[in-house]
Amino acid sequence: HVVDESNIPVSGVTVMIKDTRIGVQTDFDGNYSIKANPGQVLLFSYLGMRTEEVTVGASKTIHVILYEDAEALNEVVVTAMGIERADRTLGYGVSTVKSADFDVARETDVLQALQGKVSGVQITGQGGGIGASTKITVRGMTRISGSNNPLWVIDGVPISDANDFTSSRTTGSIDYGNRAQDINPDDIESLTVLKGASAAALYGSRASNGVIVVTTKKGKGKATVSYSSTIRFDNPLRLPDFQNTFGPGDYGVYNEAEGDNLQEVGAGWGARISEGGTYTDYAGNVQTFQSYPDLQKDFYELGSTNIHSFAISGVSDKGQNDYRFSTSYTSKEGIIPGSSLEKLNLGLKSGAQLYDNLKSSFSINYVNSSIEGAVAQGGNDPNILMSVINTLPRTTDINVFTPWISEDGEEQLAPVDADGTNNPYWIVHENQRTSDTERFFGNVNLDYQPVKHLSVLGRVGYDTYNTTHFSNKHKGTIGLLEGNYTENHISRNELTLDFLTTYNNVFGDFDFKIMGGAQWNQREWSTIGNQGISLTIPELFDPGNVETNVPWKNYAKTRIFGVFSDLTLTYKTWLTLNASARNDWSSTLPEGGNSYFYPSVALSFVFTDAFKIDSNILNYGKLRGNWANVGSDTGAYQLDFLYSPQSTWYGQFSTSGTFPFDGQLAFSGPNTLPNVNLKPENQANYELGIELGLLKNRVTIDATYYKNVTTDQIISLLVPASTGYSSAMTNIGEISNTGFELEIGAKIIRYKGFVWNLNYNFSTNETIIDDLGEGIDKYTMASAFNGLVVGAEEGQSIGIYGNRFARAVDENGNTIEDQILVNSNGLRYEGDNERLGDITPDFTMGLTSVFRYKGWSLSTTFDWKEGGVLYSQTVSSLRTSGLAKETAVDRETLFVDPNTYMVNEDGTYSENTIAIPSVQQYWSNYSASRIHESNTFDATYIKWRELGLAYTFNKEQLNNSPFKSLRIGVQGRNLGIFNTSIPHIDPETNLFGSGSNGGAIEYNGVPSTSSVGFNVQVKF
Amino acid sequence: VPAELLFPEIIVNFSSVRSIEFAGLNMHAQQWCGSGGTWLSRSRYVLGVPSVNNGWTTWYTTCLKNLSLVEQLVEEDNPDNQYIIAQAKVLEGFIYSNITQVWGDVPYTQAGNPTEYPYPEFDSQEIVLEGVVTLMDEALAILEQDLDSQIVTDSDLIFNGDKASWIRWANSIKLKMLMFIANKKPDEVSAQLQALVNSPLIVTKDQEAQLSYSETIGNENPKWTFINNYWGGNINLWYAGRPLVNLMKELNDPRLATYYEPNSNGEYFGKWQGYTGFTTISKVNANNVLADTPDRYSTASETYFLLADAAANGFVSGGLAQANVWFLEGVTLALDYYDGTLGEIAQADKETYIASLPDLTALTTNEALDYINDQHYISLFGNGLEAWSQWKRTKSVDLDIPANAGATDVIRRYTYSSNEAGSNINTPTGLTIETKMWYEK
Repeated sequence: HVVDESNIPVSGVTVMIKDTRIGVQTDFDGNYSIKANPGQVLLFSYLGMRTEEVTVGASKTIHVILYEDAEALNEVVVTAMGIERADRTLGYGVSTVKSADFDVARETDVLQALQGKVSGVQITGQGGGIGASTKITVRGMTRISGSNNPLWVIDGVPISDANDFTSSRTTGSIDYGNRAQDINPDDIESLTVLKGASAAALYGSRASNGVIVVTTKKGKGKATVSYSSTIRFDNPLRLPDFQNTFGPGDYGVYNEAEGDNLQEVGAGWGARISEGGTYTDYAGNVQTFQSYPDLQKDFYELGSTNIHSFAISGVSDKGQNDYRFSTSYTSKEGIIPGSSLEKLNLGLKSGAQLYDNLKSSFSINYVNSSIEGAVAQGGNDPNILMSVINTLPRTTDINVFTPWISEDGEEQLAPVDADGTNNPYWIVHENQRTSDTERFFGNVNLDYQPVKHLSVLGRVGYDTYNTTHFSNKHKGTIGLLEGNYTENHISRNELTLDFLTTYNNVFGDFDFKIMGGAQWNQREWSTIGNQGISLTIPELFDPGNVETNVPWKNYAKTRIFGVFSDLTLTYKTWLTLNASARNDWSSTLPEGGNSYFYPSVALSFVFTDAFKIDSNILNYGKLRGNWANVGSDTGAYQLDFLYSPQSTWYGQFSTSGTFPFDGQLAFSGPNTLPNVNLKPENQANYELGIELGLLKNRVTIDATYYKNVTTDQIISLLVPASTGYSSAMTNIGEISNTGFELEIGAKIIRYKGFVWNLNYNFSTNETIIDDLGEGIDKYTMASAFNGLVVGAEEGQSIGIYGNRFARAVDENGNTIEDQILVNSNGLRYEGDNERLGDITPDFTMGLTSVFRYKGWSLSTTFDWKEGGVLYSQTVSSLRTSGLAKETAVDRETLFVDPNTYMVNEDGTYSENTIAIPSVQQYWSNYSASRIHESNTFDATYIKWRELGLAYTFNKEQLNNSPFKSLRIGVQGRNLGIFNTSIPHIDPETNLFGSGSNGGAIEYNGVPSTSSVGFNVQVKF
Repeated sequence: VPAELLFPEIIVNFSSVRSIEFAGLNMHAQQWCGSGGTWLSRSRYVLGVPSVNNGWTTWYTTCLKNLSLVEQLVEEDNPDNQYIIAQAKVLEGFIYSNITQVWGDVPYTQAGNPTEYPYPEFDSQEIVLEGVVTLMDEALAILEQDLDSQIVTDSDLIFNGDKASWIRWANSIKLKMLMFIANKKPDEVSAQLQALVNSPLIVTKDQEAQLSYSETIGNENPKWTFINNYWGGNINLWYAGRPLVNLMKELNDPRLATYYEPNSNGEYFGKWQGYTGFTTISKVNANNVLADTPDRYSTASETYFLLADAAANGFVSGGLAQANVWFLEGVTLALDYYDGTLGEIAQADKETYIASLPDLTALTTNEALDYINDQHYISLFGNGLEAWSQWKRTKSVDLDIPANAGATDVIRRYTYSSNEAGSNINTPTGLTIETKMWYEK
């Protein structure tokens, strides 16, 4: 029986017989049993606790008390290239999340589960679209063009986190998720975020945005069968606050005799519903006005999530071999009718000690996932569901839209607007948007120790997936009455070969470790697809069934070869110097200039050991610092001037046509001017940190300050179209990121079996565009509509830019910020396109609290994002259409827009005295989507991210059961939003998805969900 | 790649902008009137940032860039093929003529040369119009020689490599440019205009420069694709504009039924731009927006109307007598254009109509010009860019200031592309959509 100093059983303690590989783990009650002979020594080890040695005597039971390691947190961290290092020797900050953290409120998406738990990262979900991507940025954006996404590494092997989406990011964009979602959270032993360049330097250029290192579980102890099941139900977290007073119409009137019809009038600007007028509904029936306050709620369905995970693991042959087989099945029904996700994960990981000096291991993972009914966001597409659902008149009975298809299966019934938008049920049921993915990833390792102190590791890693995206517009879809379908096959593979030699020895007070190696990495990506236009038979999506086909094909292949070396020198356990160097050769840069070198140095100094400080107040203290300089390359094929065949020609409003035209093929030169003289990017990086253990490690503090400066960015620079090119590849600019991170852990109460732990983290990062090069004052990073863009401007952080209200100007031509102008109607009007605010928050923080008492545990996490802004198209639509609650207030009062100014005839300004012509015109104008200022809000929010209450049964309770352990719990995710100034929507949303550098723009996004449910975990 | 393979990309994308991206220009010419959505916006002078950007970018990058690559490829691979260069110059000139008709002052002399001019200066419209004339002269100088040179044939979607057609088109483009310039400085160009009178010009329907769309899927006129995708081929948002309907009603023009559909009372009514409420307003007749409706670049009737205008103004010799001859040729060609199509006009109606027109020699010069330019304006139905420019040049009809547009005058030009303005420090500021074109009197 193993307990800690508070007499609480410790489960998961490894009990090994010294000098053998035989070992077991303690169960939930801290019990263990192992066959050992008297005289043998048992080692009891557990992370963060001092390892105890006990010699087996005559007694059959050995009770052990483990003490927290007062000297240091002897945690082992998996760092670059899969190297395990003791936390105390690290010269850089890392954040680690353990398997148990994923269990509290099990997410299907690994990144979502990190929300609020890790410092130095910013994680943004995309709302409630099924399977949609989650974006993570580590220590801010270092690039204004090109990827800012971290590298994912599983068991030492890089894998893809690509975000596949349909063509345009804005127009009817469909996000099919990011590929890190393929990882089975139940397979994760630990997840470590390597944040700085120094930590990641060994991975080379691809790690310049940070690295997420995932270590998967492996077999330990006796054969164990475990099963876990989670069932949860999802509802929209936040729906808009609608008014329910006014029906459709214009200026308070709706009169069909005078030519009004539902399709053309404002959705919420009519008469009071209570006046009870009549109207012809979408199906053509005459109805009396009646309010349907739950119209949207009635449209959404109860979502559900089911996760079943099963694993068999253990060791065999006296610990010579380990194995773990796992399978997990996830099925999810979205809140949007017809949307669902299914995912199957299979994993096998096994290791064998082949000879005393030769070990092998392999892991193989298979993922099959499919998404149905992904939802399009954005604008300019009559299939954007949310723009339909949110702007229906409050008098709409949602049942008017069923049935949505005629009996012959070709005609749409009851469209919302015969000139522009489709029946919402038609959109979700007839116009499919599906994604099917099959993926394999895995690795094979051979570890050979030819002589003592020397080891050689060879590793092959492979990751490949094939995704098929399918979407169709059913015959009868407004906007494409003839129907069409698009099928796109994406396939990607990545092969990584690693070779590593390590020499490790101790010379007196010095522990010396040197490693050298080489890495070869090749990535191939191809897509092949077809669009079939004008269907003959409605639901036969085949190239032979359409009047014309537009096929396409794209291909890219890139290679990196790198050699590296890493030296670690530790003096007397308290001073560690780590130096590394890597040189890469990239196929994406010009020959002769494609090699780049990056060095890094890190120092760790445990001053409490050096100065022998060990008081009750301060028991552990470490200072760390590092410097690194990394380079990076760019995408494939940016160097040569290439002519390419064109399969389509562009036409606005979905009128694009195809080549051949009149039988003739078409070719075109590039729109981006290539550059044969591209140089690698460069990033200089330094970091200082302190780690403290106080009150016998009851309180731990880890604080980091860092700065990195990225120069010579490879940018596809927007150039004047009048040069003949839209953009040109160039090296330009300088961006700096400065930040501070703090993690505090506190064991507040440990008393008679009652435990209360708090973990707090805080991060702030400031990105500044120091230089954009000559002649450029603003660079567009991503654009939405009507001039709304995410841009970089010299001297500023990355922000969104859009049209503001016109303002007064002083005699020097400078804008007077607080004097917004009105026109002769007393209405504000559109002024210049200017900065609206920062896309990233001022700071983020997270707080996790865990209570434990006997078998009970209660765990909850909050996260807080302060600052930044968000543009919301949903708010614009709700207000301009007169549906938002605030537009129903004082509708008849013609007020004077306060604090505005009018322009006098002589050009001077005076305070506005003109009353607005109507409330309808006021809102239609104030919140118009062409004026972005009024639809941009402070993005601050606090989210109650997760809550889990679980009970673990003890041994006695399970005595007469087949279970080794049993844990049941209730859990909830995204339970509430607080402290937000954005009306109507969840501020955590992003039109652009994880693959883009865009953010802070919401455009008809699907509401995010809140979920509650149950979880059971058993082991046999 | 062989240079000719770039031609289809240039021509088809050029026309796509003219046909659908800038379909709103029909509202600016007030021959059409938008009843909702984008089209009501265009009626109200909301130009749409994406449309302005797309038009600008497509014409400068997709079209003009590839034309300069055509010349580059010919010079590198086969410098003898000067006819191809001449074809490229005619297209380049025509595209610039479109660009300046939409935006006025635009990059010309420094455009298309990113190494030397990363931020091209904007040239005055005067320089651009004169530049197009020079381009035509250069092209003609090549085409009029008998060279051992290839000419683009199959990829030439306009004339299929017919050299005589290219010569006629170059002269017709030149005629139009000179008439814009003549509006401002007639003395400097009248000799050139006089010389053109005897040059080969586009004077018959089969000589016209146009991109022929077809019923082949993917090769249809994008305006038709648009209405077909949304309303199964019916026109629901494009209605009649007031000035044209009123003018045609006044003249008892038999083309009314070709252009528009009568309202439920069997009458033709046009709408003042920018207002809503279309129950009694005539729709644009769907016969004008068919899958195979061509994009007409330069027409035969246009040649005659311009010549008649030049004669009446005294830019060329012949006076009103000659003007009258050309005027009637122009009207006849305009009426005959619909022969063999769904909008065909009965011969008797044509004759009655022509007979109803006055003899220009009996009128004052200004009255004669009004008749010529009114007929020219009527003939440009469906070609918003030209009709709008024609109005700016002649003001022969009175256009309305749209309702709810916040405008003080009829739109004269488009604002510059925000992409260009954001990336080119030389983009002029301070111009409004009401700032007149250089060539306007």
